[in-house]
This record gives sequence, structure tokens and C-alpha cells, in this order.
Amino acid sequence: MRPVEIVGAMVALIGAARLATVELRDVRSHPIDERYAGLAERIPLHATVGYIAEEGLETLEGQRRFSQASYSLAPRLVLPDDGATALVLVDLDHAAQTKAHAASAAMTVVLTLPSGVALLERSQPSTAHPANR
Amino acid sequence: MHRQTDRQAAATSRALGLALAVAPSIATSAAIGFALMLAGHGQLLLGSTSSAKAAATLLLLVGAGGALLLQRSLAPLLGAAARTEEEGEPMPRWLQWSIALALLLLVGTTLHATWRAPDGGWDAWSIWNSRARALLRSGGDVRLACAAGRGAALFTLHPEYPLLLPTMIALGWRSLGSETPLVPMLLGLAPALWLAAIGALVIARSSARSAGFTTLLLLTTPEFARMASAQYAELALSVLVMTALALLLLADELVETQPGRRWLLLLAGHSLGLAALVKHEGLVWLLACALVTLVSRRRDLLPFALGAALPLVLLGWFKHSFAPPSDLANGDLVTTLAHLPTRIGQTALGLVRRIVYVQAWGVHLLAVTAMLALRMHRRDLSRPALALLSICGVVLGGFLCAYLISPHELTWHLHASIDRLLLQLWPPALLALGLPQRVPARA
Repeated sequence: MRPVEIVGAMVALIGAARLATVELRDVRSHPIDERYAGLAERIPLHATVGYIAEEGLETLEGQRRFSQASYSLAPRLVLPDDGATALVLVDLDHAAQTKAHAASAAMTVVLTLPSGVALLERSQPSTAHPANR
Repeated sequence: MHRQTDRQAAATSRALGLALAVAPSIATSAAIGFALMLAGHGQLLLGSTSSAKAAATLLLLVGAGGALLLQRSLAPLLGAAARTEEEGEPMPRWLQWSIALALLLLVGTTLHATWRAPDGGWDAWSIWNSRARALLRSGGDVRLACAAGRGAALFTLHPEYPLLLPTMIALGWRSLGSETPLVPMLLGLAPALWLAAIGALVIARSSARSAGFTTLLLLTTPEFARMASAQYAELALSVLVMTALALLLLADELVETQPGRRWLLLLAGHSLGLAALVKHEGLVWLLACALVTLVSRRRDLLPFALGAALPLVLLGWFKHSFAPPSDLANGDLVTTLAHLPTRIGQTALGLVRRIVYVQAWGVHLLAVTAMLALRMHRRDLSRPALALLSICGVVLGGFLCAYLISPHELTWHLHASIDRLLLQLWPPALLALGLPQRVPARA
């Protein structure tokens, strides 16, 4: 073996060790759809859904939850709630918060999932969203 | 020193022909599907009827069959380009075993990652698989697929990205009849294996030993394995880029009057056009290759550009009629340029840090950068290797410029994307390292 090949083999060994010890060590995460199971059937395929969550889109966790809701419900369009959609997806930490929010905003709870995610229906959207017309 | 036998050389040419044919052929079949969707006929392929399922399956089979036809047209040309006069060394047994183990590790890592996170990494579920779901569930409605992330929502959902990869995933799901994670997993792993094969076969034409070493380095790069298992678009883009670069190198070995040389150039342009339909960075690669071709052999530019034309028309159609503007276009350029010196420093520092970022790169990036720098210093890089590195240099310059004008917070932007951009440069850099130091002139 030439010196450069010895260096190459060492480099490869370090990379393989890194792969074997780090990439294969991570624990299993739940499939994203589990968190939203049963929701898609209640929302028309071409609907736009408002989105209200504990964490805003300025935080990484807020972005993650919003993106995962979009992914799970695709091709339904999920947008931060602006009062214009008939259906609203609520992702708050406590069921009591969801109920209080529904009551204060004159919405009815359509479905609450074990994950805490709930689908609310607004009786009178402020203006019909173009996608829902 | 050993001389490759004619039989070995022919086998290498056939294998290389197949390695170079598969990605453009399958991507072309997906591009046909994407064109149908842009024309509003997505239901033909992604509708819920059994005829749509049959059509989606047929289109994928046409892609696979096309690869075999393409291989038949390429193999004789590659045989003509094969450097049989080049003396090479066989691959030692221990190196063969090391590569086999590295392959096992890569496949094992990918299977484990799919079990651990069946939806893939963040970009996989938020962009590629999400868009594939939207296409499949809406019967190929491109407007709906691009709607996520518009308006007040997140730019990180990138609704402006072209849809070649999501189309491929959706076609796979449609033909299998379920949204199984196996399809995006395969579209992450297969390009990784193909990338390794292309690099190895190009280098093996002169030295199996060098091919073995560079393949081992590629397969054991932590970031490479991570991307193969994350279901991201980077390796799908890279395999098309690597195909094009290999075709350009092989075309360069043929004399200008050799029949079929223009065919290699046309196919190289086509591959890069398809790469631009996978991700915007494909456009940077296309422009860099066009620029280097323009400087080195102006006459090659026409077939190259003709090859890229059709995918670029598709991209233009998508961008003009369906896609929102890119997040990079939303910045205040004047303010950004006012901070240019600081941003240049930050970007350069960010780049240098990655070279020693063990978590993503092990010591691979550091070692290979050092080896390439040493060979450049000694001036013993061959002309093809220098051409490859020139293209990589132009592409890297393009990527760094994007950081300089980025409207996003620079530290975040660098952290979020630089490893993936460097990974696109990684297989061509290893190819440049593995190419022989001197290429004898061809008759």
C-alpha cells in the first residue's frame, strides 16, 4: 500500500465508524400521519384550511408542525388562519384551550384527535376564501 | 502493472453505458409525465382509474426499457473512447471487501433510516414527498401541488421548486397502488449507488485500484450516506449531473469527427436539463458546463444546448405558468449589497468550517481537498480532471453568490444548505481525484 492509500483507508474507516455509531443509533419517530389520522376524511380535497397553533411560524417547532400538517393533509391547502376559511385546524397543547378558542371565536368542534389536534368549523367565515368559493 | 484485456474493457464499456443510460432515461419518462400534468392531463397517469395505473406503470417501464436501448447506442461509443492503451492496476482483494462492507453499511443505514423515519428527513416530507402526495391525491393537479407555502405560509415549503422528483415518486406510488415509503427510499438510495457506479466505471477504465479507492471514499462519506437515506433530491440531481460530466469527459476523448460524439454531447446537455427540472442548482451546473464548453471547444456547445432545450422548455413553462417566485428573489438587494464585505467573510468562513466539520464529512472533505490541492500544486492533474474541477469551481462560485444575495439570515441559510450543496460537488471532485494523472493523446 502506498502512503496516500493508507491515508485514504484511514479516512474511509473514520467515515464508516461515524456512520455505524451515529446514523444507526437514532431512535424511531412516529409516522407523521399518525398525528393527523382521521382528519383528511373530514376535509374536502380542494379545501383551504385555516391553521392555529401553540407555536408560531417564527419558531422551528411551529414550522415543523405547520409543514407536517400540510404534508399529511396534501393536497388540501393549509394556511395560517385569517378568519376566511370555514374549516380551521387547531394544534394547541391542551384540549381546554381548544374548547375555549372555539367558544370565543364562535366555532364548533368537528373532531378532536387523540394527539390533541382538532378540526373546528367556523359558522360565518369573514370573507369566503377564493379556494372555498 | 497490468493491461486490461479486451474482454474486460468491453465489459466495462457495457456497464458504463448502462450506468450512464439509466438516470436520463428514467428522468425523461418522468419529464413526459410532468409535461402531461402541465398540459392538464395529469389524470391520465395519476387518476384513480385502473387505466391510469396501467399508464403510470407503462411510462416507468418505458423509462427502464429506454435505458437498455440507450445503453446499446452508448456502449460502442464508450468502447471507442476506452483508453485500452492505458495501463492500470487491478483492485486488491482487501479493497473489494472494504467496498462491499461500505455498500452494506450504506444500504443498512438507508433501511434503518426508513424504519426510523418512514416519511424521510425534513425536506423530504415538507417538500418532495408532500408535493408527490399532492400530485397523486389530486390526480396530477400541478396548481394544487404548488399551492402549499404560498402567501403567508412558509418559504421553506418551496412551492417554486420544479416537480420532476415528486412526479417520479407519484408515478411509483400510482403503479404500486399505495403511498409506500419504499418508493422515495429507493429514489434516495438508487442514485447513491448509481453515482458510485458511474465514478467507479469511468475511473476503472484506466485503473481499477484508483476506482476502488474513490468509491470507498464516496460510500463512507457520512453526509453522502445521510442524504441517501433522507429521501432528499440532492442525489437524484447529482446522478444526472455526474452522468452529464462523465459523458462530457468521454466525448472529449473522441476525435471531433468520430460519429456519435455529438450524441454524447447532446445526451450530456439533456441530462443537465433534466437536473434543472429536479432542483434549481441543476441550472447552475448547466450554465457552468456550457461556460467551460464555450471556452474549451466552442463547436461542442450546439449539440450540448440542443440536448438541454426540451427540459428547459418544460422548466420555463412551469416557472411561467405555475410556480410562484423564488424566495431568493424577494430580498432587498440594495441592503444586501451594502453588507457585502461582511457577507463575503461570513460565507467564506462558513465554507472553511465545513471542511473540518467531522459530523457531516468525517475527515473526507479535508483529506480530499488537501490531496487535490497537492496535485494542483504539483501540476500533475490531467486535462479532464482540470476540466472537471473548473466546472466545480464555477458551480461553487454560483452557489456562493446565491448566499451573498440571499434575503435570509446568512448564518441560518449557510447552516441549512451548505452541506447539501457541497455534496453535489463531492462525486465530481472524487472523480477528478481518481482520474489518471496523465492521459495519453488519442489518435
